[in-house]
Amino acid sequence: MNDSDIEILLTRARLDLSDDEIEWIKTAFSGYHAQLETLMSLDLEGEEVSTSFMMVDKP
Amino acid sequence: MMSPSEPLHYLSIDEAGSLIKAGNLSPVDLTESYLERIHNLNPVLNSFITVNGDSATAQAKAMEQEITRGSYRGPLHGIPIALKDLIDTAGIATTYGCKAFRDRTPDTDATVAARLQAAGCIVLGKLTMSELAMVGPPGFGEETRNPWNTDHAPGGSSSGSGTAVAAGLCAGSIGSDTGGSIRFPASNNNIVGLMPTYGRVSRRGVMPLSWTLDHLGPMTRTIEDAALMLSAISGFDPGDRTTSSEAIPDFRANLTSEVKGLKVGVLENTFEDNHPDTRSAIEQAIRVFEAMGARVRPVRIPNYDVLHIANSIIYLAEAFNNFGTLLREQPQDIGKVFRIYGYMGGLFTADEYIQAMRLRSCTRVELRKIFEQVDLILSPTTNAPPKRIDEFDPFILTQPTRSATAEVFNLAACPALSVPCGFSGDGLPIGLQLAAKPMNEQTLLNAAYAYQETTELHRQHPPIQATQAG
Repeated sequence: MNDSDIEILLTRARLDLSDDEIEWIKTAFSGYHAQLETLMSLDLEGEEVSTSFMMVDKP
Repeated sequence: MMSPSEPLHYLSIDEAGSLIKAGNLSPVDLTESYLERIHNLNPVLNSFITVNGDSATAQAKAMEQEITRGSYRGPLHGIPIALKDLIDTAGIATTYGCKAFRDRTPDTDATVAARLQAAGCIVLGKLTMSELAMVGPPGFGEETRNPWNTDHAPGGSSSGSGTAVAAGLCAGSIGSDTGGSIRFPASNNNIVGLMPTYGRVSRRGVMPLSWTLDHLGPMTRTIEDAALMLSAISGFDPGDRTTSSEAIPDFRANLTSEVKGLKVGVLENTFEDNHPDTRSAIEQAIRVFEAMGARVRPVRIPNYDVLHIANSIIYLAEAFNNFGTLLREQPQDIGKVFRIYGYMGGLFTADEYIQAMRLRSCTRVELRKIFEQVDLILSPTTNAPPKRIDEFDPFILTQPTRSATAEVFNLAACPALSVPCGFSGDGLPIGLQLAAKPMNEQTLLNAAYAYQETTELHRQHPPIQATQAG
């Protein structure tokens, strides 16, 4: 994640962070990077998101 | 006249309840013993953020008078408990462990608090937690310490809920769990922590971290006690539309230690990066289940290595939706740890959130298939014994190899518990996690009960003495 990408995301989220906080975000993205890349590369074969959050039964 | 098997502060709820029912134990004496223990040990452990002393004593007297009049509410009548500080309690500060909410005092009880009090429980106070139920220390006040070694972490985010039960500062507690926050502190403190099925327990009046992943559940010294508390807090609540109308079993009455023929799946994914003491304890636990007559076989969950990031994206995005305004407008009132993860929740994209939810859906299907083959899934609760507090890394949740041992069952809405399983070479607790298919808490409790009765590890209490602080 480069600086301009982070700036775009921060603007979109309406977050005005200090330089220290931006460094924290870079560290966090760096840690998450490998898992995030793998997650986004998964082919989930059209699995419906609508089935992912359901009550066990309906009252 | 029956006499207690343990000092009053270490009596199980089950035993204390029987003594109270028989008139051999006064709820007032029991409450006073806990308040004295809190007075002596809380300055060291910081388990309680708020002690409800006078009100607890008054509640105890009222409970005792009811029994004297012949009115008995049931097995929780006169039992002193405590609640994580994100559960609303009328007239008692509920701060979420965050400076921004330190003056917040709700007018009404959360459903879970109301149900426990209706069952006769006495509320001793509110328990310290990681700030806004994330990880690490509270946002203000002193950090909770592990009674097994006060240099070590109690586990979070239900840190005080774990240490208070382990050190005998209350008979039982309620914690919350979005990715292990009941089970981790249970494991770190040699107690039982049960995350029920999503929808089993109402969350009305409870701080939401993640609407789709949060669960409330009991933290206790025994399986019997977890069963008792679970029955009391379960059930449909019109104030929480995610609750189930499924019938509520009497989990305690249905407990059995017969597990012969039970099919137990060992979650192989979780055996790849374990501390040697944890690995050894879990291998011993597997042998115990085999000796009890269970049929053990390996199981694997597909895409396990990305379940941690999937869970993280979902709960952090949901947390940002809830706390985004606070993060933007009052960052000075929020500690570094929550700011890191809260901000991240605002930066994940919708594309990433949807992909995480789709993987969640697939994982639920995969677990359903696994639960057609086995009754339970067994794994370590955490991959290592409790770490030193001074080694805490705020970026711990971003580690690329972070395991989803606990989170997989939040994603899949399955009940899971941690039960004491042994100790490291340094004498620190190790927990065993068992999980079952949704609404199958009884199977879970029965297996854990059989294991508890065979190992008797729950009878070991931390070495901390009241005189340390006195």
